[in-house]
Formats: sequence, structure tokens, C-alpha cells
Amino acid sequence: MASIPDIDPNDKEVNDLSLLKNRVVTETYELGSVMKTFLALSALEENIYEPEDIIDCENRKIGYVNGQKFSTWKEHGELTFSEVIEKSNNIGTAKIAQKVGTKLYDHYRRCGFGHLTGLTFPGQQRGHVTHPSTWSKASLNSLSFGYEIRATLLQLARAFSIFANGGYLPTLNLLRQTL
Amino acid sequence: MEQPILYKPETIQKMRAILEKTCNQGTAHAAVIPGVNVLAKQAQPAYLTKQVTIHH
Repeated sequence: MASIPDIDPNDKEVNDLSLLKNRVVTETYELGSVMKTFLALSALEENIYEPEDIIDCENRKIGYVNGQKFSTWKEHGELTFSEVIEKSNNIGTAKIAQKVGTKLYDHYRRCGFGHLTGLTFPGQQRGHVTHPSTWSKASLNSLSFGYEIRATLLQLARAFSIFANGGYLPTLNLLRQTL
Repeated sequence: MEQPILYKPETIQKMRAILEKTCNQGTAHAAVIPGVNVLAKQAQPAYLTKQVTIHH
């Protein structure tokens, strides 16, 4: 778990204690568009969309979904569900999220967000996923492109490993060394 | 101890296909993490290890 800037623990002249943190587990971030991956996972698992389904991304950079105004990085017209993720279109992802609804919260939690990873490491943070009971009209849109959710980079890596190992959320272990 | 399967195998297969296309054809975003800026060019065939530059 690389954390930069780092320190030499044998250097007794270091007086900035923040450098002792391993920010992979001690800091949480609103991770943004990488969370679209788990939105897509939710929509496919709930059989709401198939990869080839068409979504109208309205061919503009400013979108209005559920009364909220937001921007996306580039105009796209009709895209398949798969292309919405590939091209990272916020209008398309917001429309997907509106159909997934409150189950999006359940899926983010199922992927480990908002939970401690189980790794015994000092200062580990659990992050936060905004609960549906406190959602505003903007929350589903925000959650679809990775806001109103804070997570550590370790939580993100663990969640992505679901795809690598066939649907399991692995138990994490720290290795002292490899032989 | 065996871990429970969280997602159906067919869902994982669909997601793998999407992620593979995203990595090879999709959009590489610029990400900013305090202390480290990771900048990636957009919309290029994305073998990101060749494109990412890290500034401290």
C-alpha cells in the first residue's frame, strides 16, 4: 500500500506526524466517476438494464435529471448502456440511477463501501454512503457519478476485486513479505 | 472460510466485458488526490500505464 509522500521511519528528524499515515486506509475521498462501475453492476444485477440497451444522453453537456442541473464532459446522443460507462456520460448514468433507486445504496454497501474492510491497520476509516432517508432530490444523480459517497482507496480496490474473482468480496490480509 | 457470492456470474461476465472495453477504448479521467495529481489524456486507446504522469 504505497502512500506518497512517505517517510523513512528510521529518520528521527521527521516532525510532521501526518506523514506517518498510510493514506490508502486513513483518508476518504469522493471518488467520482469510478463509482459508475458499481452503478452499472447494480443495474445489471437487478435486471434493470442489459449492456446493449439504448439510453438517450441528449447530445448536450448540461443535463437536467430529476430537477437537478449538472454537467457532463462531452455531448453524446444515444448510447448503449455499456457505452454510457465507457464514455463516462453523467446524463446517462444519472438516468440509470433513477431506475435503480434506493437499491443503489444497498449495492454500494454490499460492495463494501461504508464498512471497515476487516484489515487490522491503525486509523482505518470506514467512509460514508449517504442513506436514502437523508437523500435530497439530487442525491441519486450525485451518487451515480461518485459524490455523496466517501471511501478509502483500499475499499475501492477491494470492491473492484469483485470483478476479478467472480463475484466475491475478499477478506484482506497484510503480507509482511513475499517469498 | 468460503466467502458468499455477492453477484451472479452472468452479471460479473457482463461487467468484465464493459470494463475491458472501457480500459481499451474508453475515457481516461484526470484524477486529483491531495499531494499527488494523476493526469491522464482523454479518449485514447487507454493502456494507462503508458499515459499516466504523476506530479508531486
